[in-house]
Amino acid sequence: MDIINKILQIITDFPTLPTIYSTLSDVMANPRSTQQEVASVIMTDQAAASKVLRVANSPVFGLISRIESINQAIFFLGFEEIKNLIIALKIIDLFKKSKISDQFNPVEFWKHSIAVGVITRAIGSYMGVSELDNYFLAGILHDIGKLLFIRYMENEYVDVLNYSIDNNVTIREAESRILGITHTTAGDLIGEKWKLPYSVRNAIKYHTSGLIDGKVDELTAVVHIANITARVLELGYPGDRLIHQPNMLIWEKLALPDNLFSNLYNKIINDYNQSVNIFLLR
Amino acid sequence: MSEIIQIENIEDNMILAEPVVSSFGQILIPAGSELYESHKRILKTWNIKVVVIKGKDSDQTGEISEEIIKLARNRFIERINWEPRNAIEKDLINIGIIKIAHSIIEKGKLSGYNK
Repeated sequence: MDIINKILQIITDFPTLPTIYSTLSDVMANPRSTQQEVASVIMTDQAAASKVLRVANSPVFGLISRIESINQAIFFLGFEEIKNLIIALKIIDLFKKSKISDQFNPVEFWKHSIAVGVITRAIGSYMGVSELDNYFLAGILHDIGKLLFIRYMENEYVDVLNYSIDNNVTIREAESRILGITHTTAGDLIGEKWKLPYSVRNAIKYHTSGLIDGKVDELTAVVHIANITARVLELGYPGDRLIHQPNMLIWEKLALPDNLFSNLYNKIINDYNQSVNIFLLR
Repeated sequence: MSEIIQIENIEDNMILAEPVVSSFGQILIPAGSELYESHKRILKTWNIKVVVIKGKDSDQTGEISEEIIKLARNRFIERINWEPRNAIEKDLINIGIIKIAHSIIEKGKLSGYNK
C-alpha cells in the first residue's frame, strides 16, 4: 500500500470524537433545547465539566465574575465556545498518551498548540473580533495532522523530522517530499471526519501561508501570526525551531498596532501558563 | 520583574531594565540608566516604540544585564533568517529576545548562576 492510501485508511480508522461531543452537537442543533439540557449533557462527564469551569475562570476568557456552574459558563461563553472547549479537552486527552518518539514529545507538541490557541484568542480579542468562538479551538488544533503521522506512522515521521533538521527546511516541506502529503492536508481530512467548523478547518489547512486562494481570511491569518509568535516565544515544541517570516499581506490587511506584541506579552505568558496547567498537568 | 512600556508612559526616574538598542545592534542607552521625560523626544527620533523598565518590585535578580540580553539576542538570531520589515515585526523579535533573556535568568537561578 502506498503512503497516501495508507494515510487515507488511517483517517478512516482514526478515533471518532467521544460520545459527549456528538450528544452535545445533537442537543445544540435542536432549537428547542434549553441551556439546562446542554448543561445536563456536560455534567454527565464530570472530569470535562470540572475542566470547563477551570478554563472558563482562567484569564484566557477575561470574565470578571467567577463562574460557579456549567449553567453560568454556558450563559457567559455561549454554546459554541463551551462545545469547542470540550472538543479541545477531549482531543488533548485522546492523544496525550500517544507513543513518544525521541524526536517528538506529545506534551511539548500540545504546549505549542495551547500557546497558539491562547495567542490566537488574545489577538482576536485585541482586534475586537465579535465572534471569537472558534479562535481558541482553531489555534489548538492547527497542527492536528502531525499527530496522525506521529501516532500511526512514527518511523516515517522520524525520517521527516530528521530530514527537516538536516536540510533546514520546514516540516511541511519535508512531509511533502518524504510522505507526499502534508500535515495541513491530513489535518483537514481529520477536520472533515470530525465535522469541525469550516473556519477551523480552513485554519488547519491554510495556517502556514495564512491565505486562502491568495486572500486573507481573518481567523486563518491570526492563527498564522499566532503560530509564529508561539515559536518566537519558544512556548512548547512543534517539531522544529524554525521561525518563518509572517505573510506581509496579513500585516497589511489586519492593520495591527506596532506595539501589539509588547502589549500582549504579559497576557500571553500568563494565559499560556494557566492553560497548560489546566489542559495538561491535572 | 521587568515591564515593557510605551515611551509615552515614561516617567522621571524610571530605570531601564534592558538597554535601548538601535536596529544595527548599537546600544543607545545602557541598562540601569535612569529615564526622564526628556528621553521621550529622543527615543521618538530613533523610532523606538517601547522600553523595558524595572518593575516596582524589582530586585537585583530581576535585572536583565547587557550580557544576558546579548546572549538572548544571539540565541534568537540563530533561529531566524529574515530581517524585520516593519515596526510590528521588530516588536515581535523584541519580545522573543526578552522571553529568552527571562529563560536564561530562570535557568541561572535554578543552577545557582548569579549574574
